[in-house]
Amino acid sequence: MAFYNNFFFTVLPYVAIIIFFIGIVYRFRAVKFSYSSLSSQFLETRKLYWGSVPFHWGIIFLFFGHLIAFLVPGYILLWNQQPLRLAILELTAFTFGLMTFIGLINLFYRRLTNARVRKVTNYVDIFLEVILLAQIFLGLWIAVGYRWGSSWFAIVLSPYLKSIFTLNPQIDAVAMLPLVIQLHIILAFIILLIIPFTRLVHLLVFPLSYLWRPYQKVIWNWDRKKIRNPQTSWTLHKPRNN
Amino acid sequence: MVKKFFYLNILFLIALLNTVIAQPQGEKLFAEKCKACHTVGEGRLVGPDLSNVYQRRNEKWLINFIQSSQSLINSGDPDAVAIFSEYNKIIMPDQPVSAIEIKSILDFIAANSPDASNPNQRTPAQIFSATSITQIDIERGKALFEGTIKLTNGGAACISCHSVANPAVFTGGLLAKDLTNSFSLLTAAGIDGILRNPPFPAMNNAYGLHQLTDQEIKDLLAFLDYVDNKGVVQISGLISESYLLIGLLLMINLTAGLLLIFWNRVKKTSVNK
Repeated sequence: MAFYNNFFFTVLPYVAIIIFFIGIVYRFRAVKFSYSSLSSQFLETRKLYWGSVPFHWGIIFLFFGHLIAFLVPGYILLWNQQPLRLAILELTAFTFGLMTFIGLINLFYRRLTNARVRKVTNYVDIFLEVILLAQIFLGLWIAVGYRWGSSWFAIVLSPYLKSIFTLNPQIDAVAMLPLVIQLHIILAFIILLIIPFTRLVHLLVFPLSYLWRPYQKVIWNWDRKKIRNPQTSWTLHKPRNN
Repeated sequence: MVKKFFYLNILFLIALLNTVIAQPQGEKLFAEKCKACHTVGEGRLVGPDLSNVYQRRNEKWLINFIQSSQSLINSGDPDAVAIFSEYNKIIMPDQPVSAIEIKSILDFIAANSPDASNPNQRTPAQIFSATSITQIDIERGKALFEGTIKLTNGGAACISCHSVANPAVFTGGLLAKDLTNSFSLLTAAGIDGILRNPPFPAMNNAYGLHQLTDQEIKDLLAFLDYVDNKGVVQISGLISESYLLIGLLLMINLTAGLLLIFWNRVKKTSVNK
C-alpha cells in the first residue's frame, strides 16, 4: 500500500508537473498552430451553446474555487464559519459542478452524433472527454458523499499540495482519505499531465476578450442596400461582396 | 479450564459493570452530598480536602463518620474528635446514605485524588465533570463544533469533517466519523486525549499547530456528552432545512440566470434581418 501511495501522491505529481512544463513548451515550438481549442463552432453552433456555455462557466468557477482553497485556505475556513455561508458556498459550487457535468455530456453527445464534428474528432478528444467526465463525476460524488469539502480541502489537501510545491511531500493525510477522493486527486494530476497532448492547451492561450466579445462579428465594408438581389440579373459590375 | 475462563470473564464483566455504574453514581452523590463543604484535591473548604482520604482512614471508619459523625465523636473516637476540633467544631450533618453509596463516593474520590507520584496527571473529574456542566457550556461547545465561535488558535471547526445526529445542530461533514455516540464510545478522557494529541493525520493537520485550549476542550466535551446522552437541557438550534432550501433556491436561480444572460447574447437570426 505504501508503494501505491508513494507512487500516486509523490511520484505522479512531480512526473505530471515536469511533463506538463516540458510538453507545453515543446508543443508551442513544434506545432504552434495547434495551440488552440480547435473550435468546431463553424461546423455546428446550436448544440454547442448548450454544451460549451454551461461547461466553461462551470469549470472556470470550479478551477478558481479549488485554486483559492489551495492558496488561502484560512479565508475559506473563515467564510465557512457561519453554517449559512457554508451552505451557500457548497451549494453554489455544486451547482457549477452540475452545470459542468451537464455541459460536458452535451458536448460529448454533440461530438459523437454530429457528422461534421465527428470528422474533426480524434481519439485523444474522446479520451479527454471521458477522463473529464469521470473527474467531474467523482467531484460531484465527493460533494454529496463526503460533504463540506470546501472546509476539509483547506485542512487536508491544501497542506498536501503546499508540501508538493515546497518539495517536501507529506502524504500521511492523503493516504488515509477515502478511495473516491484519492481517485479525484490522481485524475487531477493525470489531467495536468495530458494538457500538452490535448486540446486542453487552449486554457493557456485563451484570449481574455472571449469573455465579453460577441460570438461573431460581421462587418460590411459598404452599404448593404446596394447589394444586388440574387434573383435579379447583373446590372453593370459584379458586386464584390455577393 | 473453559469453566475457569468463563468464571473469570464473568468476574471481569461484573467488575467492569461495577466501575461503569458506580463511577457516575459516586460523582453524582459527591456533588449532591459532599461538594458544598469538601473538595478532592482543591484545598479545604468548610471541611477537609478529601483527596486520598481512603489512605488516611479505613473504610469502616469512613462509613461510620459519614453516616453519623456526631455518634463517632460522642463515642470518643480520637481521630473523629481531632478532626472535629481542627475544623472549628462545626457539626457535619448526618448523611442518609447507605454503605454501598458511600463506597461509590469513595471510589469517585479515589479515582480523582491527585497521584503524588505523577503530579501532572489530570484526574477524570478535572477532565470532565458531568455534574458541573451548564447549558452555557453546552451552547458554547455547540458553537465551537459548528464553527460559529472561532477556535482561539485558529483550528478548523469540527463540522468540517464530523457530524452529530441532533436536530439542533447544523448538518456536519462526512469525511470523518459521526460523533453522536463518541462520548460513550471513547469516554471523556479518550476524547480529551485525541483533541490534545490527534493520532489521525488529517486531524493532526488541523490541530497540530492550532492547539485547542483547555476551556474549548471542556466545552466540546460538554456538547458531545449532551448529544450522546440527550441530557435534560434543551439547546437552541438553527433549522438546517431552511438553510438548505435557501441554498437550493439560490442554486436554481444562479443556473437559470447564467444561461439566460448568455442565451440573450447568442445570435439567433440572420444579420440581414
